[in-house]
Amino acid sequence: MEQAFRRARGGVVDRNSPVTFSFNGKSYRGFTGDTLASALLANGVHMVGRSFKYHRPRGIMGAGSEDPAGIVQIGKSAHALPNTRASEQEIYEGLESFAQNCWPSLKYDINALNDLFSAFIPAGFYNKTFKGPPGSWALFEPFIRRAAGLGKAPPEADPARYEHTNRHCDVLVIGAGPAGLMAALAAARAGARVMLVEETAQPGGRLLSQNPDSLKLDGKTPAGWVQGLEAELRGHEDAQILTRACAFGYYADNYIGLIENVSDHLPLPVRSENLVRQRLWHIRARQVVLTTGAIERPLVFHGNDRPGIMLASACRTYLHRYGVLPGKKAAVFTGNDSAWATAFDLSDAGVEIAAIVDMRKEPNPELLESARQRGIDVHLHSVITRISGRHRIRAALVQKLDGAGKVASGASALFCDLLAVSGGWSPNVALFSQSRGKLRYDEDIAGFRPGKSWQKERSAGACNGQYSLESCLDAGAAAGVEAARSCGFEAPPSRLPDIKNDRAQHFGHEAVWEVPSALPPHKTRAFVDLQADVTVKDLSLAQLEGYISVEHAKRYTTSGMGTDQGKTANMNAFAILAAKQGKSIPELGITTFRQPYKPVTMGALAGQHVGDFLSPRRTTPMHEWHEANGALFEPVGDWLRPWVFPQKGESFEETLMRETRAARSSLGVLDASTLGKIDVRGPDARVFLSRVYTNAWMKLKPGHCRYGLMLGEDGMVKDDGVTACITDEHFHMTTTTGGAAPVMSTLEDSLQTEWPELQVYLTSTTEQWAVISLCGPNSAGLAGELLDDLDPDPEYFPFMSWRNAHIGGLPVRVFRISFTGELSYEINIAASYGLWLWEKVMQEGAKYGITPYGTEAMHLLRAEKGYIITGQDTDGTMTPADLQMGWIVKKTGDFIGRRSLSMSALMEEDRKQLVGLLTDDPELVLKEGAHVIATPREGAKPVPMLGHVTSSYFSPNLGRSIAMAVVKGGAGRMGKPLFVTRPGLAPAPVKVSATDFLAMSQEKLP
Amino acid sequence: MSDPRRKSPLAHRKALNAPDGAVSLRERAFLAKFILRVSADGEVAEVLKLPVMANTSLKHNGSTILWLGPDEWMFMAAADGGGEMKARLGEFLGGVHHQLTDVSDHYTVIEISGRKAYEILMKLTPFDLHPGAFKIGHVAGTMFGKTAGLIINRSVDMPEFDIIVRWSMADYLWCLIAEAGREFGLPAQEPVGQVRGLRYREAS
Repeated sequence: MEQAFRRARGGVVDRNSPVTFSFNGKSYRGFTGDTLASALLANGVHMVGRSFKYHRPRGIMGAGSEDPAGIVQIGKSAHALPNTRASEQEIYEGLESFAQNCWPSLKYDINALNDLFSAFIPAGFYNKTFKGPPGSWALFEPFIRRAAGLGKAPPEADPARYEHTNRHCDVLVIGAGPAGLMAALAAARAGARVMLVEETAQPGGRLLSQNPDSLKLDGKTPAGWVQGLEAELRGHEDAQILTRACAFGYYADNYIGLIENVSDHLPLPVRSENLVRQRLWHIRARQVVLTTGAIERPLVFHGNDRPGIMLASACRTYLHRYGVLPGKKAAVFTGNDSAWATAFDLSDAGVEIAAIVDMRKEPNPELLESARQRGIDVHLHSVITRISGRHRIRAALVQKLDGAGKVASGASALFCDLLAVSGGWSPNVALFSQSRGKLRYDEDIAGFRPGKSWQKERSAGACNGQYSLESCLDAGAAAGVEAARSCGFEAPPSRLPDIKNDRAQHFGHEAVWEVPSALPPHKTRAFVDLQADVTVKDLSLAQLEGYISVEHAKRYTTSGMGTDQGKTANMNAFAILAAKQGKSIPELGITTFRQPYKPVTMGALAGQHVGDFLSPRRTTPMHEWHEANGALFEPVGDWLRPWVFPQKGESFEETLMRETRAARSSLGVLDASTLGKIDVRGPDARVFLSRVYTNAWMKLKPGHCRYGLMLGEDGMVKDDGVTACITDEHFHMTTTTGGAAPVMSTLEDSLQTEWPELQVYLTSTTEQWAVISLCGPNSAGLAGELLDDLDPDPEYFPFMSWRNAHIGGLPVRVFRISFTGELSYEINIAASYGLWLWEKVMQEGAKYGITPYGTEAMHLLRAEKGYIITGQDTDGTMTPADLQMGWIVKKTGDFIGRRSLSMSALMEEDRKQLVGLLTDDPELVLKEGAHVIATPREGAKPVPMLGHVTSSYFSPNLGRSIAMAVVKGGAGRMGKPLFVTRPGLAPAPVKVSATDFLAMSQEKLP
Repeated sequence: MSDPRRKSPLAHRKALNAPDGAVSLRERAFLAKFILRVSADGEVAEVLKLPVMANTSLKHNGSTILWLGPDEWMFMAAADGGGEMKARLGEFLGGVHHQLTDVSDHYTVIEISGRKAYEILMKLTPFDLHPGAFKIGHVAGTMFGKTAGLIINRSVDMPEFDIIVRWSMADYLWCLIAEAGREFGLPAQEPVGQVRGLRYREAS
């Protein structure tokens, strides 16, 4: 029969909107508004999976994010979502769901054998295998990996989109139950910017789990009253309600992470490509109100993990929120008053109540009277000691307790298909605790509640141990008012609704953490954590093996370490551990609550910053030309620079040789726009430059340029570049491409904090200028043709000088500087004219066979000249002296890093120094990074290493290979033989040389 | 008519409009932009009408002056207004220690307007752009995705913001805004320089 367990009426599901879905290949029907759990229960399905370790049957146990057991796989292939809580997944037309961790089928699972061998895989099994004989982990791992686990990861890339968003608000209210609704409304009425976030599909919280026939608020049903409040709240312009949104992390400064499910509840064909699957909210709130409710605790007794055993509160939720009967014949097992209401609600809904089993001797007499009126059997001072039914509970054995609290002889069977259990309530303090708030143990509620706050937050309602509806509404409203007032709003006290409740609310209880068992301890299998398969026996073992600290015991047993983070398990586990050590619960303490409160997908954490948006691709004004002309690109930091410009049919090597030759023999052109540029201005500009560079800047004349090295405070080379003097008080500084931002911030920082007396201003102009570098003997010819009003003849326009000029009437700055050792002109033009000028250069340069070259040829050309690249030939451990550039360090006057240079360690002669290496075989190109050693054989390991190769190329202009390397005491090894290691081959013999290979070539290279 | 030799960083993009005026995106190309660094002490601030309140802007003589820091302002004017503005400022500043830098091409301006502009921008920045906090004329320097930018609230009847962003980051930001606006009907935009269609240096 279709939906045999659906009540005739009731619930907030839309009965006019049926939905077809499947579980394990079988088709079922439910209604819009159902979760997968409520829809399965409506069809009489309780068992939905197998447990992590022992593969024991697992059923739906809770009705929300607390459920440790009802975990399934949703969807197939790329859309597969493993480890999804059935109680949270809303159903949609065509939803496919599957049981997890079972094969070949849910009911007949091979690995259920694990359960028989459970004695061999106790707590700490992994720990012991790791510590076992060598190789034992390698032996066991494949089996363990196959057998243990939860769902299956999707085999394909995730096609869904995700995004982040940010919000600031005055008052953030987390949890839209009765307390949260009152808090949000009170704050919104005061005019505050309010956000109310709710984990489920709609506001209402526990109100929706109340019997609408017995509870009225202002004369309305709970759902009706909630609707009214929601409507009013939505009417406030600055109030926002987010549903399907879970606050998963409470961070410093009232910064809260929220995961919103945007599309997971929509049928696949309806999901829009333009809508994300999930959205991660970064919320910064001035005040936070925590109204996160309480979580019911299960009872720990032999066989307590069977499908059909459910939290009493969850039964009520299914009954009233979803209009579903979780069973036809129910028993209730508890030690507190609140579970009795479940029995009465079930009974009123037509469920036969087998009995109420209460461990206490004297529960509230009113409850006893209500039970008597309904004709419900009551077993006082009794416990359930055994369950029958493997895949679904069929019966429970009740036994009396004796005077000592032990199980007495004599038993009776309760036949039932549902066992509602309640071990009391735990305030949901996860977020409070994440906020660094201090918890305090409250004997009255046998649970931890918020103590001292650390951040600007307050807890109200059940999460603060205030369990009655009246106290929730009252505390919520007061918290909302206080929060708004703390933000400076005038907030009048809120009116509370009139409540008419036929059901008296009682919260009396007696905490029994470990239910007495009729079996000896080693035969009792009472589960504490149903997801991680942790039993009382495991906790005892941890204790016996010396894991006394609660944090150690948790990790050893894995209790509370499942995807549910032990929401239902933790309190029981702590209390049982405490009892075993003869300590009180607060003496033992509890484990730390950590973010996230519940699992957050990696996709949501990455947000929109993936794929094309992983990092900005910075491109120059000439990028379009490079792309159109077949450039291969190289990422340089975020920049994309042309690497080589291959012509048809040309190999990379051939391209590189052609580009490099052209730049020396005729004319090459490079897009150098990416270099960092900083405008430096002020009467103290020279003093400033003298402090940030190692050399002297006081006498550089306007119209001239100078090369400089910048060091860190540690004396190590950080950046280099050429700075031009525009006027006596105005300089144009260039930095490396990657160094632009760090240099700018270091310099600005120095000005603001170290030398505020200097009158200097800095402004970054990196992208104001497009830079075209002409290189080669024909560059002067082309420059002359391009420039309106400047004779580029090197005789009048010498190396290391610059001039203002015009091209096509547009102002340009021309620099006679070079990174190749060749005749060069760097033309700077306003970036918006960059592409135009580049095209003009290409056109007019055609007669010289102008050759665009990329970063690889640039690297080779500078290596021929022995110029360094900071970051390639330096690695943050090289001083100017190490680079054999001692000449650039002035003798007098301070600069950043000066003092470090005189540290004895930096003055040792045996430091690694930059040298040239020439291979004996001129055709042999060394590998960059290869080790430099002193002996022709590698010898016994570890082979003493003298240094490594930093740059290595075949130079077409020199007709042989060249390399640079950092070598211990390199400066003293000129002309000496050394060896460079090669994988699989004998070390290559080399000779140490200077680095200016171009200069050596004039004297003839070997 | 601007110089045909000139090209703006987003010349390859067409203005985008979502249906029903939810959001529009366009480049305000070639605006004249200068950064002035000067001490606000003395008469300078008064004479030049510099906004001295943090994160505010002022309109004066056809240009908008944005507060960027205690000693840093940006002047923005129409594309052809740069020369005049520079001359005028130079005249006032004469002997005062200052730095006036042309950054017209260093930055470009992306204008985002429409009902959903706020919601879209909040996907990109942790800064509070709520109209109650970031009022008309307010200015801020902050992060948008992974690029820095300056934002100014230019709303009149409808939410309207200018984001001033570096040349090289403009395309990334344009596409990131479009991506964030997809749910309101902006078309997806593929950023330049992506692996597809381009050849890269291989990892080896």
